Amino acid sequence: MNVAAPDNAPSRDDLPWLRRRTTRTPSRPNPPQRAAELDLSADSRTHTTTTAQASRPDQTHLAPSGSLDLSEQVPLLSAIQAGADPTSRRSDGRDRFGTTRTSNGLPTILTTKRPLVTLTRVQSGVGALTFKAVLSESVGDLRLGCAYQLVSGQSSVTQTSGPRATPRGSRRPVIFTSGERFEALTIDLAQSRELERLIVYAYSESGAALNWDGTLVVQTYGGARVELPLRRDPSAGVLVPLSLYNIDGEFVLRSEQSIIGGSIREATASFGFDRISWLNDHTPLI
Amino acid sequence: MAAPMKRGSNVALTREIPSLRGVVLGVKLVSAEPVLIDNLVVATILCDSSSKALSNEHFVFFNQLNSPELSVTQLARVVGEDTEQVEIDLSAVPTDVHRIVVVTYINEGNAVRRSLGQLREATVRVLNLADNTELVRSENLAPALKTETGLALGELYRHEGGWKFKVIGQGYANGIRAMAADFGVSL
Repeated sequence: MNVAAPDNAPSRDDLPWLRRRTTRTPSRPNPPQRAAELDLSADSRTHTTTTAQASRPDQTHLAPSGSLDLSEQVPLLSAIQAGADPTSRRSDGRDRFGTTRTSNGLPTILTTKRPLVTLTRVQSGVGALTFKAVLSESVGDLRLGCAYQLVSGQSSVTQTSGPRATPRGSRRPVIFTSGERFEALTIDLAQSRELERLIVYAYSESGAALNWDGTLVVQTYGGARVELPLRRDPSAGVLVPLSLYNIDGEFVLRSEQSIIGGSIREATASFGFDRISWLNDHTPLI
Repeated sequence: MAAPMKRGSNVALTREIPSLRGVVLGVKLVSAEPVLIDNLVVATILCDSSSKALSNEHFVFFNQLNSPELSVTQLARVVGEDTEQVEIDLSAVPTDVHRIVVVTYINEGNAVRRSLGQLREATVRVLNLADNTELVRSENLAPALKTETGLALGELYRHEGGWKFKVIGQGYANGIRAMAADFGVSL
């Protein structure tokens, strides 16, 4: 085989990651064409022909890929490459891959039967995402908070009774509370890549039983709304209505609706936030 | 080096350099105000012949670094002196994409309000993807800005079978909301 020197070797234009100027994750080529000549008795002449075809630029994307090929993902990828519009929706609000998206105009109501909605990368990365508890006075002293985990590994809570912004002391908080008429939490989406996951919880500041009612409203920068009912029998404890996971840049919102009869520490620990140091049951160290 | 390109001027890239396979759009944004720099976002929008984005997936920015067919890629870490760099493989750009517009905006994620009038420098330059050489560079677009929160910097567009580059330099008073409406991106 004739190997050219690096200086005068012809440039490869068939490998997308070589066209870029940095090391990058290889994109997955099209599924290999499982051709009939894949039988083991093929002689060297057939083999040479196959190689020659593979090196023709217009054929190269059909060449067999490396062992990283996950065949079950191939139909999805080829659907994108075929120019299909992944944003097109079916009548039930799901796109062609079965992912529920928000709809224009109508709020998306999350229930135990339909617990998931996935924000697009634009919705998860432009402006801010706001969680607001819309309540009447009769509910009691309901406060809103969230337990979060950042990509850096840092984990704590942000809540109205403090700390009110996170990371604490940062001039550029990722999550912060703002209570005007209603309790609210805001995520700065310019830093959405910092956020790994969070849960939103509602609690009573005095620890009294609450007459659970009202709605948790999640609003995107573009105005799409996701709503979760907060209605429950009166009880003490901490209600976790919602979790958020950052899945490859897309925020997946899930209705949890579980009430934990205990402290904020127990509620967050039950969702796996076990790397928070606490001052007491309701106040984190940082 | 050639004189910087003025607002509205254009250059026929592929006619001047027939061998041009891909380009890098390098955006440089300089300000003494760290809060502004923290919240500045550069995005690239792949538009059809009516100047609307093909889809929300054709809005390339830090949370969506590739267009679906991988023709446009924003680098997570730049190579060189720019603030952000966008690599464009011209031959891989879908045929229904007619304009590729690079914009910047202030992300209003927190309560702090800033404007692009605090920028000291805002330039866009075009590099040859193959060898990193600078082909053209815009004039400094910052001095004309005041209270704007969005800025269309420049665009690549198809012209007579090739690609041209044009310096736009148009500010938007209403930032990303106005630009998203203009380019048909649904936020």
